[in-house]
Amino acid sequence: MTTKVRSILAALCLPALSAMAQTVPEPSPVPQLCEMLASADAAVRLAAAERLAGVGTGVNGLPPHAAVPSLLRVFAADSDPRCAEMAALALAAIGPFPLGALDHVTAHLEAWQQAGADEQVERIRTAIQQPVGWAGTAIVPDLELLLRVEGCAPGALGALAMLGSDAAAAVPAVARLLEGEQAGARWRAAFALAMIGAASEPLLRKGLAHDDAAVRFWSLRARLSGGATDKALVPAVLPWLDDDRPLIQVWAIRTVTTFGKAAAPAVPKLVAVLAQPLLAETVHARLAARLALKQLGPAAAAAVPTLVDLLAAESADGYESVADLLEAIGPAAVAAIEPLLVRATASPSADPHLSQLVENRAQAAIAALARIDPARAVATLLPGVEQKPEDDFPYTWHRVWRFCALGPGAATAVPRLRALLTSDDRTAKARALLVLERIGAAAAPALPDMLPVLAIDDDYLRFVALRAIVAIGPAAAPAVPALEALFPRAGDRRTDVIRDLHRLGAAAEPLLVRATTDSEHWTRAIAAEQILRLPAATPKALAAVVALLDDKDPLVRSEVLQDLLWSLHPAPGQEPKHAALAREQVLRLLTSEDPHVRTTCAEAQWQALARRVERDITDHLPYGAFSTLMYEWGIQKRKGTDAEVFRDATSMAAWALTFATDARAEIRAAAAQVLGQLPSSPASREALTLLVADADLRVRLAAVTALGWHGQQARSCLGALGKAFHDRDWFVRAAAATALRRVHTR
Amino acid sequence: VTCSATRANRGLPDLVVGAVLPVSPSRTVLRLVVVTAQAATILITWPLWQPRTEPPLLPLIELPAWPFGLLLLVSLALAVVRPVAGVLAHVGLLTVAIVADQTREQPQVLSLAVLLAATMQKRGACEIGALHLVALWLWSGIGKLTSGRFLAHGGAWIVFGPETADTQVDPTASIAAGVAVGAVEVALALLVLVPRTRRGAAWAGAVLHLAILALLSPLGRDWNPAVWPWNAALAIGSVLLLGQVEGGPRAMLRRCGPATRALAAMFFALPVGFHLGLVDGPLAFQVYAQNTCHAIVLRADGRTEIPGRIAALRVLMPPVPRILLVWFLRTGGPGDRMILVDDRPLGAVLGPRERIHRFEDVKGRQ
Repeated sequence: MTTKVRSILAALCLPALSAMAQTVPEPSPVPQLCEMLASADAAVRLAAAERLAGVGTGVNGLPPHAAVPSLLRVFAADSDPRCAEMAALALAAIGPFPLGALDHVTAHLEAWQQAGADEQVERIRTAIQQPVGWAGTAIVPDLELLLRVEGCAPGALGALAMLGSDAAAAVPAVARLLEGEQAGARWRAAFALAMIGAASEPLLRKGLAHDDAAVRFWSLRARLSGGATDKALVPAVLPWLDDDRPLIQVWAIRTVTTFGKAAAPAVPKLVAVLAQPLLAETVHARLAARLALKQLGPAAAAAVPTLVDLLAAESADGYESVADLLEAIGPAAVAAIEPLLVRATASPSADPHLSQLVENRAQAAIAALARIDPARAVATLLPGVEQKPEDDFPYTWHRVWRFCALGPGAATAVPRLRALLTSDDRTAKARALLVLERIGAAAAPALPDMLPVLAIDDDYLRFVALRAIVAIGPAAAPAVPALEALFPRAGDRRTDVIRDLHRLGAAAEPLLVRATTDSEHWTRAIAAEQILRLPAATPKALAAVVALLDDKDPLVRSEVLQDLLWSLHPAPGQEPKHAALAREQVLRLLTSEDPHVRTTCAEAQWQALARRVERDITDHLPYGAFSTLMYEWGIQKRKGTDAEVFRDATSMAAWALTFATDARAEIRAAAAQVLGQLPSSPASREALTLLVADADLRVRLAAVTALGWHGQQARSCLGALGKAFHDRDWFVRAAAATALRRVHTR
Repeated sequence: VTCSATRANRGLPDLVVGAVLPVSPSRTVLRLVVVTAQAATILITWPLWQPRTEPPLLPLIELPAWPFGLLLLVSLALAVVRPVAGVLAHVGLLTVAIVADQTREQPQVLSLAVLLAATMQKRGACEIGALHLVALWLWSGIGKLTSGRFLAHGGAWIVFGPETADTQVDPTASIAAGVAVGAVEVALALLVLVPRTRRGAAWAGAVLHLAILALLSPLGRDWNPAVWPWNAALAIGSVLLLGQVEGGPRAMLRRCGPATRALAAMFFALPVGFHLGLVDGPLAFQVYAQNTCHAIVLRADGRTEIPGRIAALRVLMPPVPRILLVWFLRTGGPGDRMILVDDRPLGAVLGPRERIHRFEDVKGRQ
């Protein structure tokens, strides 16, 4: 093949290969929904506003916050009151957003000027275009004055609402509109007070008894926002369950859910919602009603007939959730679950998809029955476990897995499972051990029958026996001698013996300490992990772990260090374990000659020294900015002592500053993000001020956000932030608004 | 001809040379370029032409699901050795394929089929190709200049790229870019009609399409690979095709037979039909002007979906209300709604610009 032909082929193939690899993310629907808010058709505006209330912030592109000016336009001036109300609901779902309010105000200045509010408009224009302080609070007095100018009140109310707590000073002026003659002004004022929040609290309390239903609604909504529950308000919420606007109905149902058992009077209405046909208007309310009834549990027994009807017609996706709801209702639902179980115990279909569907339904039904009536579930399913596998293998194993789904609820089966354990049948032992593992601590009486299995020369049986023993927890401590005897005989399965051994508590410690000196590297690493997970490891055991941080094997060093650092991140509500030990070791190993250890310690230092920052809607920054810089710096190839720069926050910030002038935009953006999270200094603020004017969008966004994180210390950068507030990119503007507010108000 | 044919002979396989010579060498090269571009388009969008269940087929008439990809490639190969039979087979197969699945109503495929027909050794074929280019540039340019959405979004896409196009607050640069693209296309069309400026316009057309190709390629936006071969073919085709045409529009039409004259008339009747709501945008040279229609689907589960790029097929959904409704019917479920927006400049005059379609209603109408 000639060079020419090869070139032609390459020229043809390369674009084709590139085309195959092309991926384009799905765009945000927000711009199009905003356009539809300007539709001539009220139904389209209504649908667009309703959908904007449900767009999440995780979309690729503009978030729903960008729609605030469009929604405020509909809120203030739509000819159809339903659209204006829907826009208010969407705005309430988005929450206060000062940039949206300021953009809305800017767009209305001319109209307000024509309405005769020249002075106010001039002051507002100056406050927004040449801000001395935070424009969000500076324009509030003039917005208050606009409330009295004919034709300006709706727009001003919308702006005050979206300024949120910044508009607290306007509460008395807004409150006066509550008693006005115009219904449109009353409900808009109630909405604004609800959005302003805490400062409106006394007025909203009074608003609950207002003659106007819309004022009552917004007062109620504000009183019950933020997770607040006042059971005395249940009767006030009930009428809204019948509202024909889906967003209000869904809100009412979700609010009822927060009242817990006190919401029992809502059951008939919730059942009625659940029985509605599946339509665009009902789909969200039905889902919300289902969740509300689940929350009510046995008090929702009246829903059982409707649920049984639903089971006959429910789509595959909804089947498990109906079973889930029946489970929550409890004994009253057993009659409905029985048919589910009959269908579930049928042999699986040959069709893998259908088989999976049946299996999912079976698991849902079994889980429901196990919680309602465990004895009945055990009686129904245990024969399936006891059945010999020769009968209808592999379906026997399906029955075993179903029984396993009963979990600790199958404790009454332990005596019969012990009988299986002592039989000569290998699979019977295996089946019993699999189920006993799921039963957990309640399987302790079967421990004496499990121990002999450890002596059988069968790797699989030994493995399932070990799983069942450790699942028992501390009550399985008598098994430790047998495990110690098994450990040297287990050959290359020694890790199986010590895996999850921490569950046995202090009794397991000697065996784990012994395993830290094992010749096999994974055994040593897992032993260290188990020691760190013991409820109370002794100093001797911790010393054995620390010794492994200098192990000859790099894998062990790296794994043990990771485990030690993980112990700094406990589950919610738990105290960090071994925090002092971890910090001490991180500082000791920061300059290690092992690049992996050094890198891990540097990242741990970043975690410890960096400021925890709020992630808001404008935070489209890449994660792992510190790691980006660290690898760019070449930590893996440097001398260990070079990592001294990560010893404290000041030296780390000085290190990050060197990247602020990098040629690559992603490195400059990462540097800005890192500088934002480290203590503020004149040098870092100067660098960030320069980066705010960068040509690259990512860099500008990161720098503006970082200055916001510096808070009041960034007052010297107000000029740069003011320019960023008028940036051509929406995200930079939103970040600048947030930053300016932080700089001025904190 | 003989001398030129000998020059064109160099480096070509014997089979191809034997089949196409002696004919006009420019036309032969153009045919090879168009065939290659169409084949590349079909290969890039291969799943589009195959029987499939997902994404669903959107038939105009229910037909058996044939593997049209292979059949179209065979017809293209036939067009190389037997131009007339090959072109007829290709156009016929393409028509059936589109009737079986309207997602295949892609402007680049239709345009390449017309350019392929223009390479036939028939009276007026060359003129049809030239007039096709004129119509494409003229109507596409006018469409862009009269499309508010293109000036706002299309221009922003060109200047800022797909990811940040919607976040840019200042519209000046977007509108300037949109106007520039539309104006260049209209100017090209007009300059081609004047014999004195045709040669320069041909080269300008090549530069325009190479620039578009560079913008869409991985070097630029890395977007919509299905139109990369088309733009490459248009760049080469504008030089090869327009170089063969002589005289003004009247002389060009005089050289055409009645059938080709009727076809040329269609190039100007179809866009008028589009603006009156009678013809689909892709058939009426309304290419990437965002002046046809668009939709947004509000799913019952809360998702909001914009039917646009079909990733699995590597093409864009044809912006035709009829096709979008079939797609909605085949992908929707109870509770879903679709808002269909008519973006034609006269859309708001001839009826409501936006309509909401409920899934239940669309299904009921079927």
